[in-house]
Amino acid sequence: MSAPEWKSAAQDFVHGNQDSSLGPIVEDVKAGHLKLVELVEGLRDYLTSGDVTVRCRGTSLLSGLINKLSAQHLNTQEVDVLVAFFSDRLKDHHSITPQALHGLKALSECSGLTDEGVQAICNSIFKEVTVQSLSQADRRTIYNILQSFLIQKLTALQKFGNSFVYSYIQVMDGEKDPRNLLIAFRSVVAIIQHFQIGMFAEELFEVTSCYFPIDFTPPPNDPYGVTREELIISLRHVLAATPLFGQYCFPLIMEKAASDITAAKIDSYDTLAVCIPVYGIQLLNEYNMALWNAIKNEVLSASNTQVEQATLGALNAAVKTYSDSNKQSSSMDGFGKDFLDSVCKDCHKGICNADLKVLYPNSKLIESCLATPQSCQYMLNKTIPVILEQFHTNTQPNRRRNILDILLRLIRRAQTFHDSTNNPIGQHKDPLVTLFISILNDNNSQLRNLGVCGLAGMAACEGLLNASEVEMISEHMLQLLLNDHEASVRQESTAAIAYIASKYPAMIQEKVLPALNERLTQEPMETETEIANNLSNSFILETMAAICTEHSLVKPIVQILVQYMKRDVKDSPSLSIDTYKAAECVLSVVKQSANFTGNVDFYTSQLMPDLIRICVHSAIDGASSTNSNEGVLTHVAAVLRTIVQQLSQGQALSVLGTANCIFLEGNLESINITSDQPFLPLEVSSPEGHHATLPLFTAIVCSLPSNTRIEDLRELCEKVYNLCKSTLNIKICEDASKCLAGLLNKYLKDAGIQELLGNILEDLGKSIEDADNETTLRCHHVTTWTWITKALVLSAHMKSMQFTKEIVKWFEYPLLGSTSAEGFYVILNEYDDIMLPTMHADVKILYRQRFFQQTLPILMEGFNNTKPEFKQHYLTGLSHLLRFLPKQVLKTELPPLMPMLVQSLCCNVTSLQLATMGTLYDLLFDAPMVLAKYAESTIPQVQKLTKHQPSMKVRILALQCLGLMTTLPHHILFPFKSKILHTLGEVVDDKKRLVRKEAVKARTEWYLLGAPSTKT
Amino acid sequence: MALENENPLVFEAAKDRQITPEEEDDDVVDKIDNREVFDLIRDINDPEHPLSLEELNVVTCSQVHVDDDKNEVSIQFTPTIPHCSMATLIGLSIRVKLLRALPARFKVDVQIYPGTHASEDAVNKQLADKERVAAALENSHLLEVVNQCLTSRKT
Repeated sequence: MSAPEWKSAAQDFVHGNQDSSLGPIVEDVKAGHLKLVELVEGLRDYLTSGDVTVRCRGTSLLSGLINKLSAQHLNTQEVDVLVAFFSDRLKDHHSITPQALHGLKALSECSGLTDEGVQAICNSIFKEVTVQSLSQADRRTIYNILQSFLIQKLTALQKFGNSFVYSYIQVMDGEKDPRNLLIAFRSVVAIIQHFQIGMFAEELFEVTSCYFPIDFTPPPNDPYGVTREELIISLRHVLAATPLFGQYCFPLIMEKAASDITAAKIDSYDTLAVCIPVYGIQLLNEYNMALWNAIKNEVLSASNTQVEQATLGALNAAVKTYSDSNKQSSSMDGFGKDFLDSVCKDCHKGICNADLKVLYPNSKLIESCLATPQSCQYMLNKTIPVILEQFHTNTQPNRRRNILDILLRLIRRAQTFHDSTNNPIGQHKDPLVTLFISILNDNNSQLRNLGVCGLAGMAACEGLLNASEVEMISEHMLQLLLNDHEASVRQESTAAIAYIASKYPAMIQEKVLPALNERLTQEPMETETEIANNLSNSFILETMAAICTEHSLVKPIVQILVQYMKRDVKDSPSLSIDTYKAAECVLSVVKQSANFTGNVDFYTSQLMPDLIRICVHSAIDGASSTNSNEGVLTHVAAVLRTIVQQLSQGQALSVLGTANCIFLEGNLESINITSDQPFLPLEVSSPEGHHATLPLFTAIVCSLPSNTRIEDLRELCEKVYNLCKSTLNIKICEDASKCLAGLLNKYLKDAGIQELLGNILEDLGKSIEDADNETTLRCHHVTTWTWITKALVLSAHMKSMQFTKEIVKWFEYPLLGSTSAEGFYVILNEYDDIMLPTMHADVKILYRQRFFQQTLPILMEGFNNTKPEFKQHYLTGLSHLLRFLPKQVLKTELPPLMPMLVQSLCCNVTSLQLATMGTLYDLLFDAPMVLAKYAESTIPQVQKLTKHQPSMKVRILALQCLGLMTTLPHHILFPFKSKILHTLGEVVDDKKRLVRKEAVKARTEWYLLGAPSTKT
Repeated sequence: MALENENPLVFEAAKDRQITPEEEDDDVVDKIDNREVFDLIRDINDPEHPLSLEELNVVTCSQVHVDDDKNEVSIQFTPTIPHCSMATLIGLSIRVKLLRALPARFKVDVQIYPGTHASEDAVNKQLADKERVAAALENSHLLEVVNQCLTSRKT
């Protein structure tokens, strides 16, 4: 731009009031075409004009320009000149002051600003400007300038000494705007830190404390977002910034704390908690009794829990301050002692009071005084004897319970302060232990429970009890565990032993486990007490699993459990319910310690063969497959999975070798079974009992670490596939299909598997389509097909859509439709026994969303073109798709599908109705507005289903939906209200109790709808 | 409002009813029994305290009698103190709750447990009078208080 051009731009800016003309000038200066001196020269006429408006615009141009330049652009000399200029302008007409301040703000951030410049700016602001007469924005400019100096140019300001403090007090005096106050408060904290405020302390306190307690409610839609909390916190920092404020501040806060306004009380006590440590004990001594009385009254009147919290916090801070002040000595000598004594005097009276409203607040007060190790020690020494005495003089169980409750709270609190050498409750150990043990035999079960809790709490204090004492305690727990007739006491003792076991595993292994084992091996005594106690073997087994809280206990406990299972096997081939329980316990123990690798050798060399033998043994003996046999098998398979998925490659290979040996070659020597008949569970011709052990094999081969090489993989898969294809037993077909799917999913990259997949697609497809085949067999084939599809979908294999499309095609085969539609559930559901990522399966993220996106169009198209009798299968498939979709995605995808969902409700298929209502129920929770549009068609249908006779599950779910619908907008529901109340009036007479329960809930909700305000 | 009974004894609530296999069987008919009706009223909130009638021992399972075949329900409740002015309100809340929750075929009888309240007869008479109960529910302020007692406590 040539000279005349920027001049005309400046002309436009000044006379034409064209703010946009500044842009080109800024560009010119930035690019260096236009020197600043040149510009100022050129602006002379405007800056010296007699017309105030012109001078103002000229100043505005210059300050606007400087604000747009980077902090490095101006050199020291230029900055000096400009500082002098703008400072001078502050003396000018008042309308120019804002422009000048704006310019100074920009200069205050320039790197070229010297200390002299800083002082010049400050001087002129302090001298020439009456801050209180400026607008909010201009005042903020001043606060910002001063704040940035306090941060960056502190040394320059410190040359002012005290007078800066005085000037700042004058600047911020009378400030009302919360945005400005936030900046001012921060600056004051900096001033207090870096200046000698001595002689101005009172003034500075006056000018800030006048805002305490903060009473500010931000306007609605406040764009600045200053909150009451921000102001409170920053003012609190100011008040707690120096001990010099103490003498003024303490009386002020105490006065405000006595206010009737809850917020003021909370703020006062919270501020006290921060200030007391700063102000120190001298001041605290002066006010301690006043403070204690105020706190005591506040807590005892118990008006508001928040106030109570704040008050207790202040008390805690006071006690902390006392005991920190005499850190050198470990006792609470001096004034702190007097304070705590008066606390004790007052509170002990309260503890002796039977009224709960007095008892608990006093206990809370004492608890808050346990603030440091010293104070904790002192308070407990004084308080525990009083509590003990109260316990012994009162014999009422209820009263004793409350006293113990307080005692336990104190012990728990004291745990935070113990160290290995000194424990605050150490002196009272003996009477406490005696007390707790004495109530273990009380008639009142709740007291017994408290006794157990107390002992466990004492054992939790490290270094408090010695080994023999812990042993004695565990002995008592064990007795309760085995003999108490109250289930809650037995549970509490189990928890206590479990806790002790985590700290003293060796002692537990030596003393407790043998006792439990002995009880297991005893012949069950059918005495009345034992039956009444329900102290079955399964309870003992569960207890053992529960106390396995330390790694070293895993092995002995698992050994006992397996020993127990073995004993059962010897007696008869069919496994008892207790064996089932034992297997479950083994599983929970193994799962708990899954991440600990120290037991792997024990697991692979002993536990796995033992467990496999128990299962195979009962299978060979031709036990009829009872429920508990199947249950044991499921648990054992889960144990194997948990172990195998943790193995390293090498360990996995050896385990795989053993498995092959047993399940493929039928060589049972490794598990010590001699049998005359061959054991070949994978052969089609073997008996079904042998096939039933397949899940064990699956558990091993499908949980192997990825890339473990399996010999003859293709032959293995073909074997399993043949079993799938030929069996008529649906359970075995499913087991085999899972095994096949698990293998395929893992080894899809293998060329042989690729080829096999092609063969299966053709062979199995043909067999399903062949109408001459038996229907059951065809349905089983569909199941196998579904599992294979699942394996492909999980790993996002390219053939997955081909397989899926076939399934959708079968929706329209009369005999296969429902099986195929249910297949969608199999594909999307997560099964915990196969193809989980933890089993090193190939599971791509978001596979469900991908499957949904790919399948939805096919389903929609099929639904629209099919005959009415097949529509339900499409709806079933759809409902399974929706069920597994994350809620977030569902919200956006669902609106167009709503009509289909409403149709599903009308289909007389129970599973479909259940699935659809499940979706509706979730939807009502997450996006009620989507449903609101369809209320007219949905509500009558759901209402009808509340009387759906064939299935109570449908009725219950319908009632739950109906109850939840009361959250929809009132105007939508109102037309239905009387009709629904009438219908529900009949449903509350349903023949099933569970249905009636839900009906009552729903009807009550509908009655309250639109009733006179029920909001609390 | 000053509380009449500031510091009531609090009783422990009974455990939830165990669901039996029969209850989950679609074909078995479950009769309405004492416990089921007790479950309906035990969660009613006390008008004065943030506690349920069960926790205050105002209603107990043993004072609920149900005869499903004869369509009869009779309930006796115990006010916390003999001069409790809330007795009528508590009785009314129980009545309204059962009105909403029981099938219409039942005849419901709500009474104060004999000897536990100063003006026992008067309250019983009020509670037994159907028209007075109906009239009471026309009063929107009273209905509001009753609804508050019946609103399930959300913790």
